[in-house]
Amino acid sequence: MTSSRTTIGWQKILYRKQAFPDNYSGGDAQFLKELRKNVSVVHYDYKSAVYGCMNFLTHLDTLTMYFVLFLNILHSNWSPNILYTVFVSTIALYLFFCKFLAVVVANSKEHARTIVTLFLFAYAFTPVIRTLTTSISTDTIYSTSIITAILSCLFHDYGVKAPVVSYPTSVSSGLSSAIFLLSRLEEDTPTLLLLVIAFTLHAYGAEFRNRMFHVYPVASSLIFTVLSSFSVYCISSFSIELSVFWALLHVFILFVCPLILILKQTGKCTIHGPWDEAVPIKSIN
Amino acid sequence: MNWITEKSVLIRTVEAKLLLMRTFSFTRLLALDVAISLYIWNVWAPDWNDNVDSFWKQTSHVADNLNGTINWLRDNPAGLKLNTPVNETLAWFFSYHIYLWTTFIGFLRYDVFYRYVTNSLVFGLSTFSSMIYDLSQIFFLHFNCFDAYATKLCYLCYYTLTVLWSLVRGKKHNPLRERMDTITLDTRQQFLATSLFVILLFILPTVFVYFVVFRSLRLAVSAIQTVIYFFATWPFQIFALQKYLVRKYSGKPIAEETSDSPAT
Repeated sequence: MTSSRTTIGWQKILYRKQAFPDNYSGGDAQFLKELRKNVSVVHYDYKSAVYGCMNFLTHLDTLTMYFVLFLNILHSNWSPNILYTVFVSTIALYLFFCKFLAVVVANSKEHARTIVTLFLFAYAFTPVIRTLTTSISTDTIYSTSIITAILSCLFHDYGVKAPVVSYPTSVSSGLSSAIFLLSRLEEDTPTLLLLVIAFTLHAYGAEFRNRMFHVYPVASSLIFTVLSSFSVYCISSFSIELSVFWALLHVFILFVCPLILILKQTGKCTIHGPWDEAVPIKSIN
Repeated sequence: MNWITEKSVLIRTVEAKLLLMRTFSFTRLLALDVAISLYIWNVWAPDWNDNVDSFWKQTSHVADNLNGTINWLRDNPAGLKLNTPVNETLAWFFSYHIYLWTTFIGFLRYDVFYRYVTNSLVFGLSTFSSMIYDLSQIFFLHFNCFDAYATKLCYLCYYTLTVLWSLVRGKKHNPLRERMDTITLDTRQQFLATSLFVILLFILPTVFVYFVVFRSLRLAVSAIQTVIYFFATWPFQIFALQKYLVRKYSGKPIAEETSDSPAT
């Protein structure tokens, strides 16, 4: 009965009055004909999964290096000159990005305005930030800072379009983590430089790293290797156990996690059909 | 001029008394009023100067206690994590204003002034109380100012913090549609929003503590004033209110029976 009526001409449209009840959807055969499986699933191979993990670990390593840098400056293990070096290398990386990586041609006037604003306000905020938490204990500040840094990592953009990725949340929590840390420092100049470095790292790090892995994958993996071994070395000066754990974590995330993904993704089964909510067709850029 | 007549309880009460002068119950009340005031006069008059002295002693006690509270707040009491520079600034600001207040009440310290207050006992307890009330309004004027400063500051911090908190998450309030919209800030705005948010977050507790201190000070003063107000207005104004004062001070129409009477 239903199939014969379907052939008479039930159409999946709302703008015309049809001789069917409102909840009619074409009968069982018609309904299940539109069932599809794994429409939007991307199948990763092992190599691309490892590169993705490398991208993630690069961010973790840069954050760790930032913490290490801060601790060494705080305990005066390293001379403050190293901050100038890091700062100058940030500028060099910026120029490199503009020359080789940027997708759109850089708007130099806008960039100059951003840099001037950033420096002026960072300079104005530095004394405030430095004395912000003098009455709060250092342990509280460190734990808050680490929690916000982890939060920032959760929302960070690792080159994968996921709903959890949120640029404002990531930048804000990363920057607040840096500000918590910086309120422990005693002098203005290191605070200013570290603040600017932290902001650059959180606001522009994602874009730079993703483009870098996209354009120069081999060079990036070399840089990643150097960075991760250096971070393991730096952590070992604070605690050997932690550095061993850090190295093991690297191995686990870099090699074991992609393997788990490859093994598990064959079992993936999502069904799509007329019962799904409507999705507007996205224009392809 | 109109403003003074509205604010001053003395003028209002006198007006009310004049209105009720014709009724018998008022004369009785007045007699009671004067009798009580004469009793108080009898008790206080012999050592009135001592009373005035002890009043001034109490006043300087209040000033000392306020300064003491602010000094106490200066060194992070009860494990409060107050922000040191902001705390110092606010403490300096408010202790200067307390100093201004003590200077101000120094000007009120005239003998004539108090003789008038004492002599007003002759006109009954309510006149005395209303004079005391009006005086206390002048006397505690600065406490309202302290509270206003602290409230404004606290509210400003709180409001900015709520706005910045939504900005930090990439949201903004849309007043036209009464909802939260998503907003994409550019990096420098994001930097400013986040830095200001963190800074204000750590400053807010300090400002809030000062708000609590000065709000409770104002509430204490207004509790005392309410008691005096009760004695000043109690018998007379309540009667008069129904007849005449409602129309004059609140702009409401006259009571219903008067408006109905021409119709019937």
